[in-house]
Amino acid sequence: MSEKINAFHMAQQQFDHVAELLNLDPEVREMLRWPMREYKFMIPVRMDDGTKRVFFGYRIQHNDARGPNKGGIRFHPAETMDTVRALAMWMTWKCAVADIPLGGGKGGVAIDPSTLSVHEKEQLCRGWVDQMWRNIGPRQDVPAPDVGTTPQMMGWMMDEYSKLVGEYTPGVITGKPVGGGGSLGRTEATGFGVIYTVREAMKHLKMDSTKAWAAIQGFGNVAQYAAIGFIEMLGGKVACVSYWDREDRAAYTVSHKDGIDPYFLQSITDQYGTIDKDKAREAGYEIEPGDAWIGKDVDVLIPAALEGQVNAETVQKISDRVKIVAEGANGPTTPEADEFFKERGIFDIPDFLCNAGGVTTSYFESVQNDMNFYWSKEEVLSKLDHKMTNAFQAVLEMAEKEGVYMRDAAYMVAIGRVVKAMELRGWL
Amino acid sequence: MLPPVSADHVLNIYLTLAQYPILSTRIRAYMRRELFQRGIITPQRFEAEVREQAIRSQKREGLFDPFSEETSEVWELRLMRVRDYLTDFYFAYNLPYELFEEIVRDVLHERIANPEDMLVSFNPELAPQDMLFEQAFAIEDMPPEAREKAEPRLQEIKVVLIRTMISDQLAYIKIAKKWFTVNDLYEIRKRKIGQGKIGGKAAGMLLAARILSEVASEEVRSHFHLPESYFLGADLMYTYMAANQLLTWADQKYKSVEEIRGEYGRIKQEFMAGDFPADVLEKLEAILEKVGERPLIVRSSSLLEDNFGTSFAGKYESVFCPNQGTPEENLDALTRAIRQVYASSLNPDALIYRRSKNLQDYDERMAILIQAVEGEQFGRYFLPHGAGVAFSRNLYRWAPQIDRKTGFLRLVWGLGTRAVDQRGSDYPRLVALSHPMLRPEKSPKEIQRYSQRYVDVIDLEDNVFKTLPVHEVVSERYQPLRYIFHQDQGGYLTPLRTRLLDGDVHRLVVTFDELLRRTDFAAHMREALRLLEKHYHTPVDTEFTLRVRNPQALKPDVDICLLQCRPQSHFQDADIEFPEDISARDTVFTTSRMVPEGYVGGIHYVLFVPPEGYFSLPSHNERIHLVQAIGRLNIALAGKVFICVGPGRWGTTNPDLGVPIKYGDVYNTRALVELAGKSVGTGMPEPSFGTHFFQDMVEARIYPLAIYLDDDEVFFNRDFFYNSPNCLADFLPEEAAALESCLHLIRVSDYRPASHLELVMDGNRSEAIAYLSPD
Repeated sequence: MSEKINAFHMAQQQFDHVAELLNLDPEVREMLRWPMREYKFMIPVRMDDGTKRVFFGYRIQHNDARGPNKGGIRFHPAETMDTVRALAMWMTWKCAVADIPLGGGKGGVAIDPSTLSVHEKEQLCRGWVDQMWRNIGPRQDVPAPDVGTTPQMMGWMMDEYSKLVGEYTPGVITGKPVGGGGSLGRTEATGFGVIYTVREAMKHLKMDSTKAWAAIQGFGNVAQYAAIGFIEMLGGKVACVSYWDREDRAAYTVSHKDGIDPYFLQSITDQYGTIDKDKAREAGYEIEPGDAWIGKDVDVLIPAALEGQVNAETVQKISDRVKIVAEGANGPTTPEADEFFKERGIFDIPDFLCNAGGVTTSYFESVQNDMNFYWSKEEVLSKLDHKMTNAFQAVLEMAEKEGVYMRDAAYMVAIGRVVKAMELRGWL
Repeated sequence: MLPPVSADHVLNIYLTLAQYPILSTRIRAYMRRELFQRGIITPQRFEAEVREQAIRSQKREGLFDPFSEETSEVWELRLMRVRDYLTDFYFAYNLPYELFEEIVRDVLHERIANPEDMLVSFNPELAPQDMLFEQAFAIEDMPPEAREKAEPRLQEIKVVLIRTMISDQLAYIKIAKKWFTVNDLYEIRKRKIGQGKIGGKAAGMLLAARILSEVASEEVRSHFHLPESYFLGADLMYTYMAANQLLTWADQKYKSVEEIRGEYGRIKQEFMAGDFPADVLEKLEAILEKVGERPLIVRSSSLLEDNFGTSFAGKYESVFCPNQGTPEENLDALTRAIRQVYASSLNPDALIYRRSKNLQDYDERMAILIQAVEGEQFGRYFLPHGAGVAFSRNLYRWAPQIDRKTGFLRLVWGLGTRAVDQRGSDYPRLVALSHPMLRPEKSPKEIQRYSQRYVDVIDLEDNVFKTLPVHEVVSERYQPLRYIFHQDQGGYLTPLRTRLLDGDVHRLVVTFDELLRRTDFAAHMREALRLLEKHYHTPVDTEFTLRVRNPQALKPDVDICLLQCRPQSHFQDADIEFPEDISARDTVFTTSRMVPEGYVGGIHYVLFVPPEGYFSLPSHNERIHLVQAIGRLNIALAGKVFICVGPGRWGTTNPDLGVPIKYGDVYNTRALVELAGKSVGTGMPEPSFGTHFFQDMVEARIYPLAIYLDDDEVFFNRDFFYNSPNCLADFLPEEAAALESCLHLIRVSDYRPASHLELVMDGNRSEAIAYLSPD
């Protein structure tokens, strides 16, 4: 996403497009084009050097017709009201398409967290909660970690909230560390979720997954478990992954002619995600340019790194063999690339369906917090499979019935569900 | 005194004018003006000479008594021809030929130096229409002072034009002359084929539109329009009949009812076999070309129809022409439709109705209104978003807050044919314009039951008019869907927020609720009806179609197309004075609660369910048995006028609240009277009594009434109800004995010989009375 494009404006356009497809009631359209509530507040923090510094925090609650708002808190220097609005709206659709009973929200602070000491970060997190605590809570709005925030920060925030309300309330925040109210299976959730949808798509397209090859962009949390899942759950092979090399300041594709071994690659990846090239080469891997992944002769492409990677330019390299694109990352595909997919008949699993495993497990986390009873990892993953499969099938059914592209179908399912909830609650 | 004869000049003038068969009338008028102005001859002398010569010519032609032997029309024609001849003659002998040429040039270039020049004297009643229009336009263009002087003349011309082109009903002319501009009349003329008037339906439609365009607010005005219309003058029907040897049927209206009925089949056949003159066919072709592929409706517009003082609704035919064939096929269908409408002017219903309304002797002629059908294509069908009948007065008040003086609609999806006619098993949406969101039905189930099931459409593929189940036509892709339908969610109805239906189209129910709630349609309709009533000086009813102009807008505009307007027919039928001085002896009951507007005369039977008898029935089964007996009695009483009086709510589903009949049990009755009060053992009558089959009653014109016996002012003649003999045995001989205690059938003449009941309901006073009246 270019800095010049207003993210919220784009989100509204996307919404308008689907509203048109749905013949959405213009009254409802007006209500959904904007967030229901927006908070902008000051967070004064006593810095380590003794000075007082003022930060600005945001929380946007887009729509809570289906349940409490859900969405991350981002610490990012380029954060604006509009980026947060766009992401909050997007969360509404994401929760709805995954059919979890939550609404959409997003929050943040315009700050680069790497410029803060641990103590200062804690002050900022607690300060954020001090300002917002009356307007968040397990039945109102449940934040989670996002860009620039960590499970540790979520722990501070949960603690601050619990102090203020006077009772232990782990359900106010998800993404907490395991043992501190967090859920098992969280680490694998998004990547495995991607694979559950790929599995369903292959069934739909009558593809034999054991003979299938995938190329994955990225080797972060999502990509790692997508690779593991593709190999272990589907019996397929992964031709490559890619990563950002911090030392070379360049991206590389790491491939193996017999298929990569994700566990081995994990073992040679440092905490910042950089793979040890030498060790890889030693093990028979080939190191190729960063964009080589997309041109691999495979059946499935899984962009699981950054946004905008599958665009008008890169799609030209896509092999004729590719049948499925599973969007593990957020917004990896540009509208031009969508057109290319439609022309080529490539089956796209849109991001907010494909990577909804994360938010679904967040939901499971708050469910477990509420029950004060924690499931095994197997139980979490099997429930996740169930949810993701149902979500995928609902979108597929819509796409087939209405003869629309999967991305549009996913939005249609999501918006349809939100509107129905609004209707039933008498908001319309 | 005349100069020497110069035959050349007369001949030249004559030959020149022969080249201008139409304009010659006007050229000669100018020539005469020159003669008069230049003092060649005075108008009086000239006219005297015309007369003299005319009488002489009569003798030449073998007539001796100028008055008895020649009709006034022929005499006028004679005068006109002589006047023309004398004009040429005087001009030729007295004025230079150049002046004549100049006049011709001026007329050809329409160079009229002074509009007042136009006021050359002529009798508008006899003048050709061209001249009338020309003069009227000239007057309208005059500067204000001059115009004021010429105003009476303008009025006269307008009246003549209205009378010859639109309608000769005095009541109509009186209103129409106030509203129509010369340009309106000119526009009508441009769209008219053939001589004669355009008939009542066209007249009403045009007048209503004109009134609204003058007095309605910009907001209301901008939402009303007329359909694209063409007219066939009423005289064309005679031309058609003459050309096809059909005039033998002209005296049909004086024949016996049996003959009228018996011969109609042949009449239709002969009418359908006739041919139209070539010039008419050419003009019809031109219309078809202009209309393109839009469907057409050919509507009767007879001189009597829809006019003031007569309600002629539905007596003549209207025929749809889907207009989807080849040009030849379309023309063929159009002419067939016209023939069909012509034939319908002699249909037995119409002739017998005319006889009963003393309209038999009127020279009824059939003009035709050809209109582009309002609507749009949806798939293979063509239909409007909505259509209906609108009344400026509301006769159906099912809740106390409903204002009678504010209008009422019967609204349907698709072509309006379903709203115009009452169809027992299918229901239009009833809209009380004072409270558009209020419905007579209480539960979603009832709303669904009393909703429209069938829709009238034009099937463009099959090129025919069709009635189809709503669900075969509608789909989630229908743009204005949410304004017309609700969705049944199993026990409750919700608006359609998206086009994703939960389930299939069978869950859709026609309600028009969102249209009424979210647009200004009801407000515009209310305002238009109020204005039309005000300026027609009588309640009116209209037919209309509607179109949601921009269904995607936050607040869509609803365009209303006015198809016709006439004085409200129900009022004329029920125009009964409330009787003031009925003695207690003659009174059977009175009530002052929730009284509808209406009248039922000649009631000879009263079906009475005594409350004591009903409530002492020991079991549910026996009550059901009673209901079944009432059903059989209803059938046995077919053709007789009767009303039902009984305890509690007629038609309730709970036998403890009243008699649980269904519409099917009592459709022949004319009124359902509910008895309530402590003595009956029921509470206050519910203001919405019987509402669950209110629509059935509306459709069947059964009046609902309630008598609350605890009200002081209520009169209830116990003697009549309890001491009259029970004649049930005459109709249900086998069951009468068993039902003795709970079902009385009172023959009014048994109570008082040679008498019947009259039931008068005055909604405005909220009073109703049933009283004995001699046969």
